[in-house]
Amino acid sequence: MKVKKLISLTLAAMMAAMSLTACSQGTSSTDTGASTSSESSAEETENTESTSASDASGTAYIVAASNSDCVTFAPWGQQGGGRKAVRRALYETLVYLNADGSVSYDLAKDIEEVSEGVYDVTIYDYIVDTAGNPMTASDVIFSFDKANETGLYAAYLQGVSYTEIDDYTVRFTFEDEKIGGLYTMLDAVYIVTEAAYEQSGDGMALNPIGTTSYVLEDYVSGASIKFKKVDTYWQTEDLTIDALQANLDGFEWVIITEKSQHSIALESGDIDCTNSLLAADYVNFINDDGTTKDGYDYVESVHTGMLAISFNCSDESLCSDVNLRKAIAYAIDTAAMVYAGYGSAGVAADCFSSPVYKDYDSSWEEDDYFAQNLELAKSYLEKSDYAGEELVLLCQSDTEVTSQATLIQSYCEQLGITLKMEYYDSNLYQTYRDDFTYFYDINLEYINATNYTYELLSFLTDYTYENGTSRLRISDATLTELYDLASSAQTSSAETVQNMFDYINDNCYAFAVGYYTQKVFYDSNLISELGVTADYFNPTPYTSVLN
Amino acid sequence: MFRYILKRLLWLIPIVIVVAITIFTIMFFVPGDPTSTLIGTSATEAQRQELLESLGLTDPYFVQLGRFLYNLFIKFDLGNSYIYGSSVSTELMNRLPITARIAVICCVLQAAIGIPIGVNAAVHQNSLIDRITIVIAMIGQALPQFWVGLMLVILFSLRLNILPSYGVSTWQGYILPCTAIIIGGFANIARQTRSQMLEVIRSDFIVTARAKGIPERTIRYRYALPNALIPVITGIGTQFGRALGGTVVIETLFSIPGVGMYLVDAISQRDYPVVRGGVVVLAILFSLIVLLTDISYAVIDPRIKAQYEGKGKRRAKKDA
Repeated sequence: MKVKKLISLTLAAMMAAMSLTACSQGTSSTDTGASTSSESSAEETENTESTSASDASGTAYIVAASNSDCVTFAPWGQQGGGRKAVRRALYETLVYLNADGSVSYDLAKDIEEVSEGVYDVTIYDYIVDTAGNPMTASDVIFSFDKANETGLYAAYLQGVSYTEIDDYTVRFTFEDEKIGGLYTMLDAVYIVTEAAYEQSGDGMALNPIGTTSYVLEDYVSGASIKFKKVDTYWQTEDLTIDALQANLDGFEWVIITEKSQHSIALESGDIDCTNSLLAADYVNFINDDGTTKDGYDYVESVHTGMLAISFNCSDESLCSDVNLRKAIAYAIDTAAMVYAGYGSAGVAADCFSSPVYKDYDSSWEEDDYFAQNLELAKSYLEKSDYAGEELVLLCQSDTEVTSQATLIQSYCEQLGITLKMEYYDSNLYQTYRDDFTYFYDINLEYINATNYTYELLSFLTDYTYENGTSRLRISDATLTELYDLASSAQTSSAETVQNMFDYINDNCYAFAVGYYTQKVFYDSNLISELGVTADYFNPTPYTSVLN
Repeated sequence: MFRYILKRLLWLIPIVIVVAITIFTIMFFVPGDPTSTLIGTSATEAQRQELLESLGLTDPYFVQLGRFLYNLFIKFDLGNSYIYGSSVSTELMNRLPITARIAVICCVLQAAIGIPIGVNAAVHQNSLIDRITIVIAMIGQALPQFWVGLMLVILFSLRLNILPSYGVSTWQGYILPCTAIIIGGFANIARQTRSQMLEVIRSDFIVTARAKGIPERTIRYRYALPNALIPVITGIGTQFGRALGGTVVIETLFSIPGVGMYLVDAISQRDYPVVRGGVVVLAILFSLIVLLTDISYAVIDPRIKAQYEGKGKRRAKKDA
């Protein structure tokens, strides 16, 4: 009897398990209004391998993979985690900044320089979003106001005021225009209609309404994002930007958190392209001679950030001594460091700028830019007052960063400098780094920038600490002056930037270690030209496929 | 029995309160805050403070705790995620079925495979079957889940191309992650079952049953196994509870949008509502699973059932 009960229980549990498995997925965010798809319930019976660029019905469709979820579809906010590609798929900006630095007008029909630092931007008078709302100048103002509220666009909008001139014209006035400031700003802020924003009900976090040819079809948080093409795009064919040609009928982002899985997914055909391949997996797609294997290709770009070492130059730290700073700088082999962190994708820096920046000048390159020189390092150490005290190195706890920090530690040990590492997860690292009461001597971090050299070096003069100092824990009026000259639209030149570099190098406030290149691999049997964001990192629906 | 269950359910309330206060306190004192994730590193201190104030994170400990407990127990509101912006309860309800499916499938199959193997090994103690079983169990327990999962992906997804390498959007997507979990889990159950069965089959009543000519199969599964199952069920129940918390390694490997990944990401991003709400929900679920486990004892072992009922009857007699 008891055994019968047990068997009954087991059978009941198994039936429950089977019925749960057979249930519809029910995981899309329909409760929050995110998913507009009635097709999500059909996913249970889909062929998981139907990810080819053309499915059975002949529609052009690709599946791209990323290792992080965009989390939100709001048009303004943090750019990481694939949000750049997602936003570009849904929303438009006034201009589009091409990878080569050229500018294409998108929502803007015309830009007129009224006077120095004053520009009138006129949008097309027939722009309509996917919900049918017409766009006017007031929507541009609204979008810029919303972007400002996030606090994340200070680099672009600080010192910028904007007013409505007429129904379709907005005047932007720069107090202090940075080089490339206008187009960088106009490319950074996505424009939506205020009506659509109010209509979405959640700040477009899960209910985006943009002006592109694509709408969000389905979103399963942590799993996939699907876009589908609609026929309501406002722009006429002749005026479409080449880089934003909506060739695909559908596009899917899948989130594969484990990077080692990206290679397997691409090889097995589960995905058509990925931007998150491990450098160690490149060999699966690239031959020894550097050519790609049959059926695969990639686009490559330099990451716009830079790994840098900066010092606490305040009197509290031993690193206030320039000789000690230089001793440490010349003890380090930067090439070894970038290799430790990024493998063959790493590139040692030749100056405190990167070839990917639009103002980059090759005259800045130095063959011996902080090249390892132990004799020189020892001579600086002897000049310094260092007497064996322990220095503190602050960094993040990522595998790449800690391996690089360990190298710094061993180089310093060779010199006789004792270094203690303090590493934390990303969130905690930023908290401590920005907390003036937290003490460190040396900071190792990957600094993000986008288009121009001055963005990379702004941390040296952003006096954001409570006592009015910058990340260097000092405030240097000369450095600020040189930075202003190097960054201003009126005075920036190869020479002014060089002057700033020379000052930074002479004082060894900070120096660049290197950066890395990134490859986005794709199935070349399916995709003829992969559309990517201007930084070449994120696949977009603006991709051409083979028929 | 009903009174016993009711009492256990009432005990849930103080348990959940303690868990809520504990997790709130831990997250309150953990260094860091969500501002760097929300507004980035270029934000000024003033902007950071403004954001913290708008989130209510600059209020004193007891004010924040009171607000959290009020929202949780009076309004039944777990709040909205700082990062996602969506309701924590909605997101948990979206992810819990996925994790629950995996947990149920794995536990049922682990039991269905592990128990018979354990019984077989016990009745053939020291034989080749027993030794093979022990070796397989040891290997199964020793192999890291991540490695097993990756090997399964390479074999079935890459080489044979018959199963998806990631995701659970279709039923085939559940096969590999569940297999990776089951390989380690069934081994544990098999060993436990074997160990308990070895004790029971040496009991006098088993000898008596054999002497009476009862078929061996009946002796094993009708007389011996129920007596050996109590610790095994405890183990299964505990495994199920842990699985509900989400097997983060497997979820990461197979990109499963489950509860585990949701909570781990929230912890690193200091998404306090998600961490607090998630832990409270899991605590409730785990408590319910433990209760179900205890109830299952009563189903299997009438002595335990009588014990549960006996307490109630004794009280009723006392009151009378």
